[in-house]
Amino acid sequence: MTLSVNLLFQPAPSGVGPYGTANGATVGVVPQVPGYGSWLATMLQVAATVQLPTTSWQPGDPERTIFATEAVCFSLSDAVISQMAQGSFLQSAASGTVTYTTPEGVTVVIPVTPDPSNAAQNPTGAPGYEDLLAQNVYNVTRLQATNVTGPLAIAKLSAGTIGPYAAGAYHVGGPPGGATYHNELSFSIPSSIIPGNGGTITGVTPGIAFTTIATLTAHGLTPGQVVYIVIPTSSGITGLNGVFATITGTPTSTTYVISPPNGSGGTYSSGGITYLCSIVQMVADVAGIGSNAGPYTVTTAITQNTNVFVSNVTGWSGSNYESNQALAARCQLSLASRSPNGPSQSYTYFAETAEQILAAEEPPLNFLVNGPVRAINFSIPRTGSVITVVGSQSPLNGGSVYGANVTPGVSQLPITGIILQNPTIINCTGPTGLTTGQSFIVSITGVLGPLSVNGKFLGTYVSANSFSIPIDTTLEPAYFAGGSVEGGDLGQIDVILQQNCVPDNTTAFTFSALALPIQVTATVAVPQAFVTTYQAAVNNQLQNQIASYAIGGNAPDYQVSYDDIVGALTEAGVQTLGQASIATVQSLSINSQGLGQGVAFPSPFFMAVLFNPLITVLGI
Amino acid sequence: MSMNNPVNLNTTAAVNFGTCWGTPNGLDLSMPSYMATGNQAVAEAILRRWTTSQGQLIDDPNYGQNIYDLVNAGLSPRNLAYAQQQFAQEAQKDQRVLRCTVVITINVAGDVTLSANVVTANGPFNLVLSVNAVTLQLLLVQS
Repeated sequence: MTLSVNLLFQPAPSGVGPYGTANGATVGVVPQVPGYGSWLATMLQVAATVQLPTTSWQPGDPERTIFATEAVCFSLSDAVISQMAQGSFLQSAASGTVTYTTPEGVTVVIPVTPDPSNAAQNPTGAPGYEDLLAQNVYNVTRLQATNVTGPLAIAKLSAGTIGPYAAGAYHVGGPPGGATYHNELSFSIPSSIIPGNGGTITGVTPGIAFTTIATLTAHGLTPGQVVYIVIPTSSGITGLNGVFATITGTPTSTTYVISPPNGSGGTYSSGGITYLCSIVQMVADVAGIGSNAGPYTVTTAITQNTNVFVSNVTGWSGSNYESNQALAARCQLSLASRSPNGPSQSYTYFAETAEQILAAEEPPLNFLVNGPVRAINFSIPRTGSVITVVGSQSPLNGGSVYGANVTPGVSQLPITGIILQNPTIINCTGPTGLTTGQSFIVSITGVLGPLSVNGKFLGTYVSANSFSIPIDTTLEPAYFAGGSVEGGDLGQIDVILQQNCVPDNTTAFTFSALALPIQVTATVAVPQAFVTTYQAAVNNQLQNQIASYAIGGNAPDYQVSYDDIVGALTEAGVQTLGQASIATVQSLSINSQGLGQGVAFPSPFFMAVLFNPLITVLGI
Repeated sequence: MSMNNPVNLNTTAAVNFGTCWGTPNGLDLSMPSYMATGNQAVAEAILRRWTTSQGQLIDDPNYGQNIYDLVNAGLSPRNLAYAQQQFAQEAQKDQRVLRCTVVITINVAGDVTLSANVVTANGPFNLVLSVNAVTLQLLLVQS
């Protein structure tokens, strides 16, 4: 027989009047005999033992009323005690509930630890019993939610400056889901007009991937800057009328290259202006991945100004609070970390705790750009290699590209050459994953020759296979051999694993998980009054459901099943824990498949990522 | 609110009605405390019923008929007769009360006087209460 912690610690009912029941005692008959096991029954039994005339007490008698009041108080205290007791055991602290009846006769179900990853349960992210247990017993701290941050490009098409705006005073929005953002620091909006005729467009060579634009005079632009381009369709060009884009190259002083979000086409005749955008760092008003924004989706200036346009040319991402279940799993993994260099769980533990380990390092250069990761670990018997696969909570590209890396960066990328100059250029055997204007943290080890390049730096894109680091190696000896690069989130995690987990004579690799986009298209009916509430809850519930799948899927079926998603859509309609859902799923399709069709994980390297759910909510 | 004239019907009862802490005038516990027995226990129990609004007792939602509800209520003769019946029935919910009759009068100022004759297995006794917006007075307790 398996005894659950819930069974051990369910509170006893009060047994008072019509409000208390125990073991099937009749409700509503007054006076009633309190049910066996209730607090009132126990108290009356004790009172009778000490010769108190309990049978003569009438309704309203002081003794009887005092006993009844105390029985109710004891019952309510029992609920708290049950919560505390369950909070002492990892699984019940994470997922246990307490059920009790209030003096008004209402049955209430409360979680032992309100889950901060579920805004309906714990909107403030307040720590609970599980957090206390995790810290005191396992020395593990919950991963906190982070606010989405990112650069916003602002184009002001007229002369003069607007502002300044104090920190928090400028607001933008626009992405699906309704997230809004504010400025992190004080700033002003300068004119985006390029002086002289440097902004006047005289030629366009359109393309799907790259577009080259010529200007009348020198534009003064540099790669990485963001421009706002207005080329009316009357000029013969499509796709460039009011478009934000990052400059990827400047072949000459009067030409520049961009990658417009939707490409461009047509044959240019005349007209068009380039504006140079100012950049301001924005932060989400609400923490968590609900405020994530894909590229070019933050386009609404809530703080309105004439002739001012905004856009995010890169995706913005934050991270949620670690869920109760994920924290419990990491607590158990942490036991393996006490005996590293061996147990496979230690790889998973250190990977999933990397965000906190890096944040605690000095200098404070180290952090995971795309949030905390989930990880799995396995070995390949044929080679003896140990493989760790990690997937970021905020995936690259929003996880929309099937089979693409979820976590950015490179792991153990060999170095082929070093150009000794200031800044120093590092050449590698393959792509770094960086693109024009991008940088990431790199750890370089094993280089023979210019030894000062061994260390941790900010690496900046130079070409597909090379990057620069901000040190002067002009006087260093020439590169001789060796060396590898750990770059970005993936590289930093691999560094931690190599330092903490990999025993001598063992080869271990860290790979990014591959995206398995999951698009949910559904129609759900809810009572009219709950339409807005449901719309707000459903995306979060789907996120939690998708996040519940391990990389490679969960046993036994290793798929995102149809029933799982039906369950999540239904669960989003549960208004109060323990009560029935108000939602009815009328239709559902996963990745445009038919009724009942799920999506299988193709291999242990794939990670399910929720992509742009299309939920129609009907009020009935 | 002021209260006086605690019930004093402690007698050697032929039938044991049990004991309970004394609550003179049906409200708070006495200080110093005393134990009520016999018809005194019954009288105090009735007073508690008549000074408690229905639904206010923690373990009995049908308990109580509050006499304060009649103060300044402007009852018609028909409603007054109904109220008398209600208060009598409330007293008779106590299984020790065999019979109870109630007469209620309300003066022009809205003050209420309730006169009751209660019969138990230990014999009859009378209660007379006077109630206005701020006071409850037990005017007469007589066996």
